Amino acid sequence: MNLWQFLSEPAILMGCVVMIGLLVQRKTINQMISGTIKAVVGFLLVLAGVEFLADSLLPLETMLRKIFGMQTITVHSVDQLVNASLLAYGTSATLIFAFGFLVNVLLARFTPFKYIHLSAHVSFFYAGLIAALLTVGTDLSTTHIIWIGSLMLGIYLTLSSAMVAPFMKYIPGDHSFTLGHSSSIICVVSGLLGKLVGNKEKDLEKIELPARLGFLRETIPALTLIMMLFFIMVTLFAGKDFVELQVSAHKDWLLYALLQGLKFGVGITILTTGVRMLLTEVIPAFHGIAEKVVPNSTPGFDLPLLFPQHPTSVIVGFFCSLVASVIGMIVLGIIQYPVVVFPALIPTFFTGAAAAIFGNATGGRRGAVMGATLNGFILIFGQAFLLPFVGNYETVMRVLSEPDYTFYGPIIGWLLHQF
Amino acid sequence: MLQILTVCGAGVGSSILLKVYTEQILQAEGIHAEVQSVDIGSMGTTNVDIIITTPDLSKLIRNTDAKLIELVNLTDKTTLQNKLLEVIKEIREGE
Repeated sequence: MNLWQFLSEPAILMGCVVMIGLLVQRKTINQMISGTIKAVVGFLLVLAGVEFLADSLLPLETMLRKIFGMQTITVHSVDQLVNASLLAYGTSATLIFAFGFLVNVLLARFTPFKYIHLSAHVSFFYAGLIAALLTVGTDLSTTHIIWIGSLMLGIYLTLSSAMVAPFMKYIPGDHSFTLGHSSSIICVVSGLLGKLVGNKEKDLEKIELPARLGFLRETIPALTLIMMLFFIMVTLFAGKDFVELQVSAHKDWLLYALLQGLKFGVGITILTTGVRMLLTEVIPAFHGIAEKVVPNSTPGFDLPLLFPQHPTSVIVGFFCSLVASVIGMIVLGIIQYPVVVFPALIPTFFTGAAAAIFGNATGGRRGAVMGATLNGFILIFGQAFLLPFVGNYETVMRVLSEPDYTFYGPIIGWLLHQF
Repeated sequence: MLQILTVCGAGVGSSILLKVYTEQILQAEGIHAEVQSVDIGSMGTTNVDIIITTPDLSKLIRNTDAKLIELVNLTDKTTLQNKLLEVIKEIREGE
């Protein structure tokens, strides 16, 4: 038995990390076994979800290339792409995820930045981004990637929560927490922009949207529906004949578009189920460690905590960001930018909402609309700049790259390439 | 055993936070319950005693006889504790 081989299998390694988390919480043996297995299954589900999403979304690239008259490229087989993807960075990503949190705790303990980032799903995928950037951009050994990456993640987690904190006072409600979310940059920029251009007296939340738009809060069905519509548009523009001949293997274009959209829904369902199984067992450990080591710290929580008080901003922000992202996609196509990108719907929804909430808090309606529109541009152009730097992490970034990924990612990637 | 669901839009962030808080409250009170975090889109509502979520999402929950707890402010542990213990008392009295 080769122990090293076991530990460099990301799913097993993740299981070990979670088991330590459960030990810290002094769980019973039964809870430890079930929690650890759940986490490993969750990790493998995340991989399966990404594979499904790649399967759904890859044909978009071929069709968009046709629409913008760009050279079509052979699409890699999905298996090959995804097997190489998370697994290649999985080991370093898993350790960066665990140690990065500890760096955050230490920074909060010993520096004036008393903020602890508790949105583990954000740091999990950010750890993957850092692992990918360092692996693609440098020839450092895995050991070096792990400690440098952990420092980077720890600093990011601490400072991103700290940056948003001063803006929380503009948000109505509870001020005992800050946001720990990968939209931190747009929360800050949108908040500043709102101050500059808007008037917070013209509160967007005074407008009530029709109740039937409420279904958009059911993330999975709403995003699946929008993806089906997006597929229908793209297949129409690419041409029915082209689609049936080259893309859908003779399946009717409309049926194909609907099925691909539904497949996207399957992919995000698998992905979020996986993330949930993986992290529900870890998060209580994070809370416990934070409370024990830095009792006077401010926790960084997940963005949707703000949604109940901001139903209008959530919907308006999503639509503004989506429109901006689609415009950005068309602009990039027209100038024949070599990387074909399309809006990442999950980030567009959540971070569009973030931008609108903070823009509205300081600058009312105008702040919300301008912030969310700017967010859409950061998402799409940033994604286009980011993808060349992340190697096989591309599929994940096409689905999940939020403003902090698309803003800091290309800068870090570019800097690494200068050496 | 009591079955409790905590629900949010994606079932990844806020609902896990609610689960952590709920478990902390139940543990302090010595109440045994199974708490699961789920997303509003794929949740099942059979064999559930209590559902904890936000007012905007609770409107979307159909076909359930579980007791609903609505929280506007998800970080407000005191309100959660009061509502939760009250609902558990109701359920126990009903049995």
